[in-house]
Amino acid sequence: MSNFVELNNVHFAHGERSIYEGLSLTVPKGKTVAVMGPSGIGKTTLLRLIGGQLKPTSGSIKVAGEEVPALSRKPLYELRKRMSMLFQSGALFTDMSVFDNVAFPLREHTNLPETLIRSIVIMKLEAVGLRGARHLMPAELSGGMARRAALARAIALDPDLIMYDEPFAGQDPISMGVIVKLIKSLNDSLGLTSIVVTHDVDEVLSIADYAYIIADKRVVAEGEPKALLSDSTAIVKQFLHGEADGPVAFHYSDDDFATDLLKGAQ
Amino acid sequence: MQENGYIHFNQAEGRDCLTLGGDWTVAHYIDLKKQLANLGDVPQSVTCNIESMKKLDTAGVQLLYRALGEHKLRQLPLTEQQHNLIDTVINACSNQEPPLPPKSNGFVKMLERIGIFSSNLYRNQRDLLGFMGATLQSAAQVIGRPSRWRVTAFVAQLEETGLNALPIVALLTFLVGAVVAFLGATVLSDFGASIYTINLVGFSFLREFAVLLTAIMLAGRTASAFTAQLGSMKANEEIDALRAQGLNPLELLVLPRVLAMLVSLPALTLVAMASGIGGGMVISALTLDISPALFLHIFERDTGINHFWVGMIKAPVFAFVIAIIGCNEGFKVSGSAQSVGEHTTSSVVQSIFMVILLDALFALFFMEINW
Repeated sequence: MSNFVELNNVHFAHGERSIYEGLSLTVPKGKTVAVMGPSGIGKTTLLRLIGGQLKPTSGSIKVAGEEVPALSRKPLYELRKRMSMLFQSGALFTDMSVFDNVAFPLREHTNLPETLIRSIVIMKLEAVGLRGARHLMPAELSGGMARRAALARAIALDPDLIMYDEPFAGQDPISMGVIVKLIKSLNDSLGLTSIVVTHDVDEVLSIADYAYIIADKRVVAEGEPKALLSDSTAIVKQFLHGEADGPVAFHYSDDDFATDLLKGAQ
Repeated sequence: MQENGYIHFNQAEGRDCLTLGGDWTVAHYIDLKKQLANLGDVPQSVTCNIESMKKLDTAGVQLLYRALGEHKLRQLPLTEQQHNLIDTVINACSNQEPPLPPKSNGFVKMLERIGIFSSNLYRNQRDLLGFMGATLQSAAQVIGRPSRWRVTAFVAQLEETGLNALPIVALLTFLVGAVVAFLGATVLSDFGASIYTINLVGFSFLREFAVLLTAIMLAGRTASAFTAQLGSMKANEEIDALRAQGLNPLELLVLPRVLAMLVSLPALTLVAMASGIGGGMVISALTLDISPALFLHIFERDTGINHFWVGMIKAPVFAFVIAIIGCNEGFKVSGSAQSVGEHTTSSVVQSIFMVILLDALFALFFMEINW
């Protein structure tokens, strides 16, 4: 089994602020890999690095055997057609109907006749259960529906890799269940490779083949979901079981509490 | 049970003695502070009696530390827990001499702000040049491949920036043309030269007013629209989604807008010239008894075609600058609604500024070549 995505010792900084220091992870072909971690540690940044929208300070990022940061524009754009990304907000084009949104990548990247495009779009919409909503505009969709429509757009070109950015955030339990089921079934039926970036532990562990936990600018734990759940490392326990205080401190670091209070008295 | 904290100073048996009692807690902080202030300086030899003290917290310790000093405070017969409290407070008080705020000198501050402003300006202009280059590059990539031309988007933008702006541009320039003719009529009639009102209106509109007014209108109307459209797409991750689908947002979004502006601004300038001169003609007919036929005859006789070209040459330049600034600011939006607003304002201000600056440079240039 070859690896579809390989990150090796990646360092990345946003200006002065260092985000990753020596991040390594691999995503085998055809598997669903979860990347979890507390908010604000740059999980979305990771997806942008893989998609070549950001360049790492050092380290190697390989997708389908190609070194992403070294690619020039044209091959990068070619590679991106094989990857697809589901954005947190859905990122549907607001001035197009659901149908046109799903048809958009087909119209852009293929020369298929319009009748064939229509069939493909309807098939994709059927897969996410929104065939009946194809005439709606994005503003008329609920959050869960928008994300499903975006998912239909993401699979329109039958990519090899889908990256999900927080697919479960802000969803009610029903749409959460729907999306979990969709990710799972798409993965199984289409043989996709998936990277799911999230902090919804239970949902993602139920579908992931392998999981990474990121904290402190690198991978702190990895393994199959079952193994991770029984991991006894402090940070893993804190994260998976949602404890308020632990290695990831409750307090945003500042001066000593007493010092801070007394400053006002002077 | 709460009990007000208190402090008394008395002299018994020739010895100075301080009696502390009640709750020395944050609830009585202000009161205790007043009492300590009333007490004035305490002699070094004083002894303290704290038998009736009920409670002590960090606020109380801090007051005592200020009043008595570290040495005396440590000598007090307190429990171990209270001694720990004292250690903590003394630690905190002694290593945090707050840094004095740097003396603010108005002049230095002004220099600082000028410096920050200048370096921002420099960075902005450099970014803008970079964006211009990237746009031209993608234009060069697309130009030879008609299959990649975004005709629909181009036409839609042409309607929005050109056709929809037509009435307001025509009306505005008509009114300004009338105003200029009024001015000419009033001032020139004193010299008996009111016939030159025609030249005044003709020269000013062909060379300057038509193109400048149109450019300023479009800077306000279109640059802001471009920024707001692209900015909200950016905020909604739509631009990221385009990139993630292997598409170039410059090609899809910026090129149609820039090209539409390159067509619509010169076209509107032409309309503005006609409309402004029309305004002048109406006023001339109404107040100066110059008939439209005479007006047109003199206009044609006295005004060279070069004046028309002076105005028209500037139009595509302004159009390019306005469109590029509007789109560039849109791409700079960073996710929040507030940011969309800020960049929209900035794009209007920048594009109007650039239009007027360029117009001044053009004026110098045309003066030098005697046009």
